[in-house]
Amino acid sequence: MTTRTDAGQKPIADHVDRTPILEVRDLEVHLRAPGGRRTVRAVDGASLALHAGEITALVGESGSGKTTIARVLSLVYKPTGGSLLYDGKPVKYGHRAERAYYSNVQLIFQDPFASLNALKKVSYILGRALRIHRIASGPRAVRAKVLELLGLVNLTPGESFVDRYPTDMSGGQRQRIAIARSLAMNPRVLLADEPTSMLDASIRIGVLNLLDRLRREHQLAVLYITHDIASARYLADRVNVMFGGKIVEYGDAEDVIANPKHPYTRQLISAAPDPARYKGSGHEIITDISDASPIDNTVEYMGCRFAARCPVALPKCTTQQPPYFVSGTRATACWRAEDDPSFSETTPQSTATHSGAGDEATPPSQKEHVSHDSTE
Amino acid sequence: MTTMTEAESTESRSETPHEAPTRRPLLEVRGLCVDYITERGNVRACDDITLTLHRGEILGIAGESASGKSTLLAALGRLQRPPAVTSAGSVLLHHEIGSAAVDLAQLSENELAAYRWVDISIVMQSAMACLNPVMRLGSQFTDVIREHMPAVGKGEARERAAELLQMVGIPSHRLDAYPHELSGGMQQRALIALSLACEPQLVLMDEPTTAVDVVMQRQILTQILRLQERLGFAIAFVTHDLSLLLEISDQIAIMYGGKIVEIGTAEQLYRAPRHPYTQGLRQAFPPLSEPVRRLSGIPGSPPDLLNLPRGCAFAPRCPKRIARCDTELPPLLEVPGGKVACHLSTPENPNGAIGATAHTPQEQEGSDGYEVMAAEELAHDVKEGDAA
Repeated sequence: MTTRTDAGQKPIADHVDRTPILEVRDLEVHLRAPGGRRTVRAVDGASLALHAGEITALVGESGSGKTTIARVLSLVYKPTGGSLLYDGKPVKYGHRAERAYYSNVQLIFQDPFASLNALKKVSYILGRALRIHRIASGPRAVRAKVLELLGLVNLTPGESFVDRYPTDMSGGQRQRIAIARSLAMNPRVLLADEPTSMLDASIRIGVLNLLDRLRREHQLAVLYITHDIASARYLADRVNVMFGGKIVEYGDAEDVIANPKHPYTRQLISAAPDPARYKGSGHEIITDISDASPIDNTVEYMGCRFAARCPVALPKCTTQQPPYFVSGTRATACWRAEDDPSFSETTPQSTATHSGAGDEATPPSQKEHVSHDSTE
Repeated sequence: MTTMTEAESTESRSETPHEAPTRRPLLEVRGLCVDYITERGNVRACDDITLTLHRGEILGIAGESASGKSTLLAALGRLQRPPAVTSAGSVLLHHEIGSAAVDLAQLSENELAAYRWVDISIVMQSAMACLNPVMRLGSQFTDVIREHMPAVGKGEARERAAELLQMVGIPSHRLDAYPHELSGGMQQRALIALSLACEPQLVLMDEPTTAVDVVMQRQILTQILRLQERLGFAIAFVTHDLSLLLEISDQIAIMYGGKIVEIGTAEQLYRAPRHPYTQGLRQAFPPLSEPVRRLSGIPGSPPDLLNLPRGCAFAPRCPKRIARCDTELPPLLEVPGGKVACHLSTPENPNGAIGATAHTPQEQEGSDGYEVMAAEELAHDVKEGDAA
């Protein structure tokens, strides 16, 4: 099915018979607005799975809930509904359990100017992670490991970087330090929340290529969060498009972008700058996006959340939630797919486990494991 | 493969002639230098900038952080503050067709006030930082209008403010709103409306869409282009996003290390960028409609302006460097369809840096010059990998 031209670059993984390393099912994060009685439905029923050696992109506009999912995956927020599974088992909270979790799941932040301590040398920043997680002890072993980490992120020779401060480095170099730090405990999952949006265009690709190499060589599962759909196409195997707290479309990256089914995905693609539409090329670049304001997610919607902005909305879109319509490894939550013969409506059970058929073996009792208070 | 046929149809479409407007210069920049006076010495953020912006046209200025692009934009409107000073050159504004040009670089603050808002206005990146948080939107608009158009009365100014907001798609009752009550995209649009309050001929835009997401960016750009079509003002648009500039600009200036290294039309820079840095930038954005191939970006780091190399500032990162590049500064040469500062490009062979490493006999009619370059770049990429 894939139309990817760089054959061999991205082995198309068979997601069918593998359990995901990290997974959220029917995730709900409802936050109380500060001071008010309103509930913000930041994430409302999203399922997502990360597999070893695979890059999964989460794409959507500001306020769509992308970062909230990353925060749930990094245990900053507890889900108010749905489940978070690591290796198929519910994630435990609490100091000891969380430290064990963090040695396997690491986060890369957007802003390498803020995420690195400006007063500490690189040797300290990387060495501290090694000591806390007891990867190495003793000055010699730590230094050797620090140099190894710098090599992993192409900061060579490492000796010329260990005694530098983050302030002496360019944005791209800092982000590499941040990535090296997250690799220190040899994690299985990297959560990258807009890792290149603060970097200059000329060095972004370098960081994306680095992530690509790391997942190849270390079989990392990577979650790549971005609003740049072109970079998601470049880097990711799978793309999840998010709008208003829901994943509205997912599938193999090339497939979703070459042949988007959900009107929001189409809007995202047409909104992205494309050099091929240069001035004088005859392409119309004035596109009518009548109202691009984010939806009010303090309201519970009866129908599709995108309906108000949707150019092809049907009457029932405002009254009935669209289910996922599935075709092979991809799906879209849009009523328009109902008439598409290649898509078929899913039963509620399989909506929750879009990650693959292997999930059917897991017991259905997992939904109850999150026992903290609901905001409703 | 479908994407390939799309690219071909693009080409045939581009042959339809689009009418050449009568190009009259609005702003002529000659040898402009801007220095930052620091304890460690003078940093020349803009060095010998020469360019012309025509009436009603969009000039794109692209470059990475610290390339001097924002400094240049501020200097065009004489908005820079100490420690930045304009140390040489002139900025000639032809504010009325036929009358003598004024050199903005020579004017005093008081004299400049007559041109601000009325002839030149600016839209900054962070709308929230530009709008006064404790004033309602309406008063901020009427303030500007009444200060610079004294003939306009209070009621009329408010009507005009409502009209301006409606132009950018904000309902006029929002005049009573405070900036924080608007979404980020709305704030940015309000700022654009404000910049048009006195019908300027030139609007300077410093990354007006960087802080918003792509959908909002597209909406704002659409609005800017529609307004520009209707009101006919010229725009100097600064951003690091070359793809975006290719879509909207008549002319694009590429800056590196405080200098302009290439100027050309959008088509020229899309099809056959001449400077190796521009070529690298074109390779830095993953495409959406073309086939995906491995990209390399540009290895290395941006130059330190305090410690620029003796020769070409890009030489340390340049894959096509020759011996001369390390010692001799390439001048910005006039070539067909633009200007380029590279030793490989000569008046006899303006495309010298395009085919620097391989023969390109395929360069025939109808063939896409960019694809030829891409093939070479690809060969280069395989070697370089992601060594950056």
